[in-house]
Amino acid sequence: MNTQIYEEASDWIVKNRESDLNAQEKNRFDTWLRESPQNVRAYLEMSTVWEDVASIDPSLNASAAELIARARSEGNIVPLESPSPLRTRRPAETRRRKGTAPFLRKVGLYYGLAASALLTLAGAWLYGQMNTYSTGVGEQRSIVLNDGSIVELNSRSRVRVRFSDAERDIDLIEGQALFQVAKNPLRPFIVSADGIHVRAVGTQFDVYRKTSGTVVTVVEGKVAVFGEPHARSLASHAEKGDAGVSSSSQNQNASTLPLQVMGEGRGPRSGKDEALAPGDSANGAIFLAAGEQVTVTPAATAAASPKRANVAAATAWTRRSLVFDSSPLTEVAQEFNRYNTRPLVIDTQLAEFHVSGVFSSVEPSLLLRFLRGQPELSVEETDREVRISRK
Amino acid sequence: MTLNDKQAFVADIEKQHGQRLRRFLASRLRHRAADVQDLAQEVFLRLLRINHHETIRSSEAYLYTVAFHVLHQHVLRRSAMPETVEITALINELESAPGSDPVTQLETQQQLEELQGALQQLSPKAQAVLLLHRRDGYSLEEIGAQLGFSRAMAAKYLGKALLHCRQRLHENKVGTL
Repeated sequence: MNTQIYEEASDWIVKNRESDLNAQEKNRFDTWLRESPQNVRAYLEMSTVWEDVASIDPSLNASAAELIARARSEGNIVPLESPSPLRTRRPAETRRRKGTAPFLRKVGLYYGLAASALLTLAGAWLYGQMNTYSTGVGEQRSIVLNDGSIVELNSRSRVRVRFSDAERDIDLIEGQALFQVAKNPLRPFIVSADGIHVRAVGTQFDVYRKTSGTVVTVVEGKVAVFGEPHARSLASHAEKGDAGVSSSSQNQNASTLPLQVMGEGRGPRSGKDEALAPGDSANGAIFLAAGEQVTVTPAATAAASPKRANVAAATAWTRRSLVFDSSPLTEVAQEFNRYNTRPLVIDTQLAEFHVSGVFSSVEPSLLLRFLRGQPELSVEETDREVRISRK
Repeated sequence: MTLNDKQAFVADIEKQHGQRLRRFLASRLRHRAADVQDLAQEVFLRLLRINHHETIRSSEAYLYTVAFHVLHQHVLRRSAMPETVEITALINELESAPGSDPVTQLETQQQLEELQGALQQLSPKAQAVLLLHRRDGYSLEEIGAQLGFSRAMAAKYLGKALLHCRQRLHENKVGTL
């Protein structure tokens, strides 16, 4: 494969899309195309990429403000001044700024300084209040925290961020999130969900607060899971978990035995690793390595054992996919209903019906088509719900 | 048609249908990676047959119009229908959006996922330039102003980002064969 041709093709794509070519350039482009079929092919292929980038779900990638911040710092994530939600800067805003005269810009600078001082004060005041991030049905977002850690928030989820000098505390109030933790051994990163604590220094893990228990999946690094019976009081003020199809099990959440999941950094384990406090193993810690998963259920915390997990499946939601491997239909419905306002309602007779497959979380019609194709199932759609029952 | 008529015709198609034409071609080509070689060959031969001067006014528009025509004839040949179809008649097909069947939708989704994977591997600057431009509608000037470099530099990053994505997609294809 000739890389140079593709380099030339991408240069020409950019030139053609960005401005009207002058006569000389037009001539050169025309000549280039007529040089060889390889050039034509490279150009056509490149234009596919050009179009497709615009078709990618916009929310899959960082917001414009984050992209700019990362690019400016050459890959190091720039901390935000305040934990208020990120906003995408619209192109029009920049355009307006460009038109400002130098004199006004100078005046603007002083106002800007005063304003930013005010903002800092306001930011400090708002620190404890404006740090809750949430997503609606079918919405996903990615949040860069002021320590550089990144939180990918799944649909219908809510987190509260409370950072202090000693600790980085996150409450997963509802739903699911993937945490990519910026390494800082002096300031452990602790995610609490329903009385369960996931503690890490620098690692990547997914926490999913389900009605049946909290699922922790480690993508990178290592974690230790252990019970923390004396912290039972924590569970009492934990808010309600993921809203599922069957609400009967909701109340069990309050009685979840609190657990602690502790992580260590990606690097080789050192004796002074902050994440592993002395006495962990005495508490009956279960160690989880990357690629492992544990589901902490209210009934059997001590018996909870790590399993080899399909990490790609556990984090498939970040790619807008739902992966089912012989999952009960009720679970499929529970997942599906996180992304769709018109819920799937499963007849109790179908408790034993299992489904395998990969479905798009943003295109519910594919799952419905699949279900309709099952000879045993009947699918009834109304404006308010989709009812699945046995034929 | 006189030369001027032809140029005006192609320019008109580009103006009215350019974006849709490009998207249509992109979606067709996406699923026919193996056929791209043949398609390119055919398009190339037709470009050679067209008078040099005719293409100069908008080579890109010509390229897409011809590619669209060739693709369409290819489909017609498969379905054993007459080959002589006027480009004006084909424009109607552009109105009906492609990709509504589930197989195509799945393939599209997979392709976009692969592309998303490639995007993740870009350097922060290249990623920012590509997404700000294609997703958020920033002009290259605006991107340059935000990131502290020239418009020409932004264009360079944009080209590099595209190139990287294409190479990555290509590697994936070769890897699965």
